[in-house]
Amino acid sequence: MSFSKPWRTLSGPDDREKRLPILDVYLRTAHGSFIREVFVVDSGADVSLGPRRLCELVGLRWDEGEMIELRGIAQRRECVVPGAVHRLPIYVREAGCKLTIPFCFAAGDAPLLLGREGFFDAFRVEFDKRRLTTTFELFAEVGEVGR
Amino acid sequence: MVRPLVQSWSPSESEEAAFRAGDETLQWLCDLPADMRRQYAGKWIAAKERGVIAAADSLDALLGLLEGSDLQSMIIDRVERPAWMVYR
Repeated sequence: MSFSKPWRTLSGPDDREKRLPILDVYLRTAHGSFIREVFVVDSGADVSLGPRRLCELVGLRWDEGEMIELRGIAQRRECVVPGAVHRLPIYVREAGCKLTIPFCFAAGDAPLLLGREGFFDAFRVEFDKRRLTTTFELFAEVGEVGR
Repeated sequence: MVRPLVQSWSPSESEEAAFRAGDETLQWLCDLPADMRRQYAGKWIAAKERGVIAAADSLDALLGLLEGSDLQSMIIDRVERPAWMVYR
């Protein structure tokens, strides 16, 4: 099972266009309905990421997750952001699958990212910058729970 | 960390219809015109029928604006500011 998605266009510095690989993913809210959100596919991120408010939207209690410190290129102490890692079911329509992955909800605002842990274990992801597409191939067996 | 659990998923007919209705809007978001990218830079937006129906500085504020709305009929997106981004 594989499918491709076009990259999106955003503004870079000086209003020049830049392109980002994205995937629209569905999450089930605490009320039972689905919500569709646009995630950046980020092979440089260890773990998938979203803001704390998303945690409440899907009916999880933020402080019941595994508490971690998010660090990036700025190593200064004041740049560390607390986050809570939960196992979050995400729904990928094109692949007809529900995937339960580790997902970090960061305190405050945060971008929506699909990182390596979990997501890249289930999908082989191929970025084609020339064609501005990403191809996703589901290579995990349906029903598989690893290790 | 453990590997992901992958399960089969088939949306109901009504869910599939709602999702299909949003496909055109997703494509529109992917190619958002430059003036709208500027207008909504740094904002969380809710989009529907190729238009932005709400915008706010945070997801929390956006969901506040959308309270009582049918979230399934829209797409939630965060429009990055015009800059080179290294996610952290």
